[in-house]
Amino acid sequence: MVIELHLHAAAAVMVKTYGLVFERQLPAPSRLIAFIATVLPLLMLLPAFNRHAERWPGWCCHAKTRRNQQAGLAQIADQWSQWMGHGLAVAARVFFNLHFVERKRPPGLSIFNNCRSEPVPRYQARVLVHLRPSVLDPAGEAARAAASRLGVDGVERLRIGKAVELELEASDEAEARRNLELLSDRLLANPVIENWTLELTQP
Amino acid sequence: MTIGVVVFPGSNCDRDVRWATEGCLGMPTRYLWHEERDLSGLDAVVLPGGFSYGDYLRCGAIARFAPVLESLLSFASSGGRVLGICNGFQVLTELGLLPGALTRNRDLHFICEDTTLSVVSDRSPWLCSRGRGSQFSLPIAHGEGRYQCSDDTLKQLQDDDAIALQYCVNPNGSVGDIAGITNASGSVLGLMPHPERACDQQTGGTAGRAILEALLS
Repeated sequence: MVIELHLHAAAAVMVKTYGLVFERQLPAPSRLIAFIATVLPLLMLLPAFNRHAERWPGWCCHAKTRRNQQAGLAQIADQWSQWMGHGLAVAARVFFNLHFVERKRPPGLSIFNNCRSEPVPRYQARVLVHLRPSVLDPAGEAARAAASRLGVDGVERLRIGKAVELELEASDEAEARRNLELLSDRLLANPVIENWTLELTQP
Repeated sequence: MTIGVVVFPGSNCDRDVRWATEGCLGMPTRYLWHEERDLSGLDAVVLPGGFSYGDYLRCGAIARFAPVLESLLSFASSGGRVLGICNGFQVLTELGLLPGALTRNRDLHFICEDTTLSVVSDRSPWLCSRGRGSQFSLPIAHGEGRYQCSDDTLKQLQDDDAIALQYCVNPNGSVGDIAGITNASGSVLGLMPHPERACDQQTGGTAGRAILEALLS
């Protein structure tokens, strides 16, 4: 159990630095150094687990280990099972972290931030949808007629549109804008009869 | 030979259509819930009238994203017959199967009355049993039936011979008095009048039968 925890912690540290390496937040030579610096201590730690060999479950026994055991070469078998066990465990954790944890991290956030606690930038937007000038707006005309009945003369033009207020999460302003444009064009407005304009602010 | 009638939340002519196709015309019909994707075994699909998804945002704007319509796009592109009546016509334009859009009636009233229609194109299966220029009467019931499109689109419709029906007296301000259009191939028809309400002599006449019979002809 203790070994499990140690290994897990070591793998977590390693994955963080791996991220640094793979996310290219460092220039190439530094990435290499960072990579070696994370892998080497782990390799040096491995012999320390030797004495716990008997605690490792059966799955870490390589085929070669079994052959060696059958041949009575217990010592070599132990050694093999050590290395195979540690190697597989680390590889499994690194794979798990890179493929299931890191992949869920929203793009654009630092590798050192926990994706569950770091708030994604939130944007406020207002999409104004209005009928194209060539399209008759009978509701606007009716309102304009009412304006003169109210005693307000000189209303030359009255067109009724829609204002849609949104809040959305996006990694940066460009992505927010891209999503809003898609939304406005495909859902909020019908380009056959309507135009739209977009106002985007970050609170 | 089966007809599918799409049922959106808010559709209210789905049963009328089934009553007409199955009860009056004896054509096997089944309902298609809007979340269904399986259109196998169907030879024609009807999008009925009503207020799909409450007509929120615009008529047909939200219905257009219903799962059943994804399947309908491939159904239509493989030549399957699709009939959009009233709200179904609005959905078809939002979906892009038919050009243009339907907007508030010119006089802002919900119009519910019989109108006289004239056949502009008899090339499609829907109206081939009537001669070009022949007239017949169908009920309309809509608040947003003013067909609207750009001049280029109107020209394209005329070039394709895709204007199926025109109002003899324009009730709602539609561009070119358009009451119904087809796609270029003629397999998809969208119209504002309700043919399913004119399938029985006792209730509204039988002028709508020919259009519904074309679903399986």
